[in-house]
Amino acid sequence: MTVAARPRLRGVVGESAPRSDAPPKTQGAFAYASDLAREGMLHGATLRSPHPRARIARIDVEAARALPGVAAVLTAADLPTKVKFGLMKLDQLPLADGRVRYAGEPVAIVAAEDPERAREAVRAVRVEYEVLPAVTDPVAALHPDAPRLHDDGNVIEDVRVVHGDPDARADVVVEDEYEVAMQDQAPLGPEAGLAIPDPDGGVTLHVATQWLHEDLRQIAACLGLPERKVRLVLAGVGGAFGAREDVTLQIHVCLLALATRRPVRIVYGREESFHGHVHRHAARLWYAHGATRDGDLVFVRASIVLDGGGYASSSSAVVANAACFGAGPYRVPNALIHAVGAYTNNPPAGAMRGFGAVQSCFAYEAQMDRLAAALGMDPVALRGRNALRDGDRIVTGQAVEGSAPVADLIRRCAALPPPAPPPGLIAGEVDLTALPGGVGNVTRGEGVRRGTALAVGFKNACYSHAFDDFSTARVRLVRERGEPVAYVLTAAAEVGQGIVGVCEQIARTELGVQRVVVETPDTSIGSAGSSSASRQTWMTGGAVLAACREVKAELARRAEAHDRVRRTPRDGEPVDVDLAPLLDPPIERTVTHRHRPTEPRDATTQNAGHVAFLFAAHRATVDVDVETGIVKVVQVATSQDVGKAINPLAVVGQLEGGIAQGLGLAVMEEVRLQGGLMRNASFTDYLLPTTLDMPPVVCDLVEHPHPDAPYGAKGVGEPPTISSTPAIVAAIRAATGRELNRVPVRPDDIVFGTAARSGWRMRPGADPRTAVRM
Amino acid sequence: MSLFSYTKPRALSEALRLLRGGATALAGGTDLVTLVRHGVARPERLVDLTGIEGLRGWSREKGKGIRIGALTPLADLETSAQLAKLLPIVRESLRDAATPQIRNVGTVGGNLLQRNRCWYFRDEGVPCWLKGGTRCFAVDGESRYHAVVGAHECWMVSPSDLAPALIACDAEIEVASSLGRRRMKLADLFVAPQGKRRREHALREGELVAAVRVPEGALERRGTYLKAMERKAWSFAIVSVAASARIREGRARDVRVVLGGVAPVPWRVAAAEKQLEGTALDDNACLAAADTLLDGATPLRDNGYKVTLARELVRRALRSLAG
Ligand SMILES: Cc1cc2nc3c(=O)[nH]c(=O)nc-3n(C[C@H](O)[C@H](O)[C@H](O)COP(=O)(O)OP(=O)(O)OC[C@H]3O[C@@H](n4cnc5c(N)ncnc54)[C@H](O)[C@@H]3O)c2cc1C
Ligand code: SF4
Repeated sequence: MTVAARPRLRGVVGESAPRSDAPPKTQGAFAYASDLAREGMLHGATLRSPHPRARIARIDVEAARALPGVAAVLTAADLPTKVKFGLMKLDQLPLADGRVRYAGEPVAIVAAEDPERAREAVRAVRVEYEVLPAVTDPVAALHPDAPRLHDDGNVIEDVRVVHGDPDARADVVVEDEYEVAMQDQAPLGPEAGLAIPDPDGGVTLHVATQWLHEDLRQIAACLGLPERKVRLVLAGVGGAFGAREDVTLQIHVCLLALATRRPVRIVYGREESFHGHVHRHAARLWYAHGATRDGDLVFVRASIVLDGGGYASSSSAVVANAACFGAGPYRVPNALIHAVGAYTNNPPAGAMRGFGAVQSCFAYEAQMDRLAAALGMDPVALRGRNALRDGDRIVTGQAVEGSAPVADLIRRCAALPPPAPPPGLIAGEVDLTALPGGVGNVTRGEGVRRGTALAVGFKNACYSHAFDDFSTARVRLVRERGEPVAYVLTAAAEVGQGIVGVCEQIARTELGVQRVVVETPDTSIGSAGSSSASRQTWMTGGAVLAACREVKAELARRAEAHDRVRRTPRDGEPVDVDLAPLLDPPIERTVTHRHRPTEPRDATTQNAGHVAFLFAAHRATVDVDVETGIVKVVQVATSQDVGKAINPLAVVGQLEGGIAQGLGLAVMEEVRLQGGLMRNASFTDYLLPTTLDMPPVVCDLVEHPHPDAPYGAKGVGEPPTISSTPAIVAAIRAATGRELNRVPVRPDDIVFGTAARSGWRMRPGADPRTAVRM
Repeated sequence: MSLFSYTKPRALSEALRLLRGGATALAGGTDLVTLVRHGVARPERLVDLTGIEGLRGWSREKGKGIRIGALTPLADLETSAQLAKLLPIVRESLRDAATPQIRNVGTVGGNLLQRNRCWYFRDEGVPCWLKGGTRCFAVDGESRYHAVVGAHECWMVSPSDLAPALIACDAEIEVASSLGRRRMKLADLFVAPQGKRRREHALREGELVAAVRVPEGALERRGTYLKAMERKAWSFAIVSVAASARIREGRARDVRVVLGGVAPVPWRVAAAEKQLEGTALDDNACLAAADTLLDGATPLRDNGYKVTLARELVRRALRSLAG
């Protein structure tokens, strides 16, 4: 038997290995879903309601159907079933039947020979609407005499967290109201899918999504097809951030393909993308914090209203998160948090990076700073003093197992190297990109004040509250041209986060083979769950790890049978037996990995509902031109507990990207709504941070391995968006002394210092339905 | 998108003939194509001007100032070291206009004649006054980016960065039509929509802008352009200021101050400029002039901050001329 002297494996766990999907993506060679094409395909388009709330009196499609080149025009009347879809609550028909509940709701779909004709056909559909007054204030929607937007009322979800003594009293109490505007996930790749009818009467859909199997479940039900007749293949995903967790065009494009018996493609443009997918919930939050004179937290009370928009999407889980994590990563002996998600006639809200934890973190971190001021304490010290430790209980009564290095993160983050001092009023050349304002040199340093502040936040990893959370992986070890090659198939969607690289690195490490091929995800294998909740490394990484270990065990058995065993390979080392004869036939193992069960939620939300927690701290430094209200974020430093960095460079990418989204929410990103209508559905009017707005990020990866996670790797995707926003806003407060209780902060908020007021009086902790108009 | 015919003539005379027949001029298309795609503009015939020789590039004739062809890409002006020496304010105004990609394609004429950015105007579904409807939706709607001064029925703001800068240089334009040529002040190209006049520009049917001229005298003035944006790149001005003056022995002469982003036209008030004549452009003089410029401002619900911002930017721009 031969023992080859192999070079050390490249790209194992812990290395900043290049991922195989990166070169084609950066070189423009990667096929995104919008590049999908099939000979003879038709082009689909969607007619959307221009009204936020209306009754549909009549739809006339005759003129549209008569147009040349139009193959199909479908309305609710043509739906094969009356089954509704929805991520958690089935409350929406694929095409509106009788009622529309938000501006942008699909009313009709068409397929035509080219996109122009499809659009023309859309224009030719005549819809008579009886316009009804729209309900756009979520607090008003909860009022008992608000019009009912759905048959079961306007409450999508109602979550109460009651912990300790909800009426506890404290020496020092601070209280305020906060507002978070609606944010868009703004993935650069718009929604796109190609459906191909199959000879068996079924359909194959190539689509950019976060969760193939969940799409499949909803599509098959609405089409009235058995699930085995619907096949999904992941198409190139150009970013997701939660926007692709819900069904958008999936059912439409399949309906058109089945109706025309031809391949049909739908690709949204940017404007339609804004109308097509769900957004981050706009929120109103009323908070009261109480502490002893020494600075020990006594209670947190909060009432939270999230605007769910026209349909539920994942609102129920977002509401639960806002409540469960609503007191922050602190030891809080007494809490009363009441969060409600309301149906309104605004565009629907659902998943976005941070998922409910973002909204409450903005409020409780502002509260912690207020409390520090009221106590005359240093805000960093106050946080450190109250930080959760291993084994402490959060306000849901669940003890933090694994690790809770919160105080450590705060200390480390505060000690990270600060940015260079402000440019000041310097004669001569100043780097204008470093100052507030455009490069158009609004200031050369005069009027600029610096502020620095720190914030900390947390949320859960994976799914919570007794959801059966699992992922399935198939690993096949074969011999190709004398070389062992591992093929990994899962249904996990690569949405840019790097799960492909994670699978490659894990398989390499476990199997000791250099060549790993991650196959295109499809529904021929079991579900991997969604690429959300910071869970894919944990869940699909865990499944790949388990499958690899089974393959390795079989390999060892075969080797023993062949008396070829030298020694079992250690992680990160190439196997040092000649594998070739052992891989005939190839070894294939499919394993489903589950995390340990979590408890369902009860009436007071006192249960171990989550599998693990993710923590991060952010310190932001800003320069503010106080006279014009223009802000330049100078630096963001972060310490994040990542468990174990499987690929440190990829982790840094997640941290930087998440901070960019947090910065966007802090100072510019807002879907502007007026009476339920979106005013800025374009990248010209919806402002995203550019590279010039994005400051240098100092990343400190803290590795406290979690015992349940593969290699101890916790999820990393969401924490960067959670506490970066409050840190930046706190830094602006520090520079300006303004209250700033709303994000995004606008120049006029700084210049005038006006605070956002909802006009509702609400006692923090009380049922949001009891709000009274002031 | 509506259907249209498309022609790309080589000769100016041909283009003018087509324009006379009711066709719409297309230059870089960075604005017009979006408007067509969104159903806001519905031209039946497009005349692509980019094939015409002689409308591109800029030149200087001693004593006669600078002539800039209307089809010159914005990037050509922005990146010319020679022009930066003669007329630095133009580079300053373009450096933050749109993006490098758009500046490569967008032209001088197109920039001056771009339509406004009011989001009601750009929404096909909103039949606002400027588009022939009965009312302005901004007056009682979302008005953060709208006008604070000089508006009548329509509260949109003139979006061009180049226009205030060139007006601060006393620029004129050459206007051509099949009937001949005329010259006008660039400032007169911009009109506040009012009464029967539901448009932003004063070109007559069949006319195009052939060139912009900056007189020799303006080259002797110092100028600066400040633009406040909500992010560091690729956004329209919330407020901008173009200022220029000749500084003699510490005193300002021939002062021009033009505001962008605050009114339906590049906003200029003769009294404010007169008030600055002979001053040292000290803080008091600058702020007093700013107050004159913004006198009578009537902000809408959301845009009062523009007045404060404009006042401060005027002060900074003028101060920097003195310094
Ligand atoms: C995302 C984005 C951001 C932008 N940001 C800024 C900014 O910050 N600052 C700024 O100043 N601009 C900005 N712009 C506007 C941009 O500068 C203009 O779109 C561009 O200059 C228009 O030039 P064009 O040649 O493409 O014009 P076109 O789109 O071809 O034409 C625009 C209009 O002018 C007319 N026209 C063009 N040339 C002539 C002519 N010679 N005679 C008569 N009529 C003519 C056309 O008929 C049309 O109505 C932005 C645009 C976009 C899309
Ligand atoms: S400001 Fe002008 S363009 Fe905008 S809605 Fe009013 S009338 Fe229309």
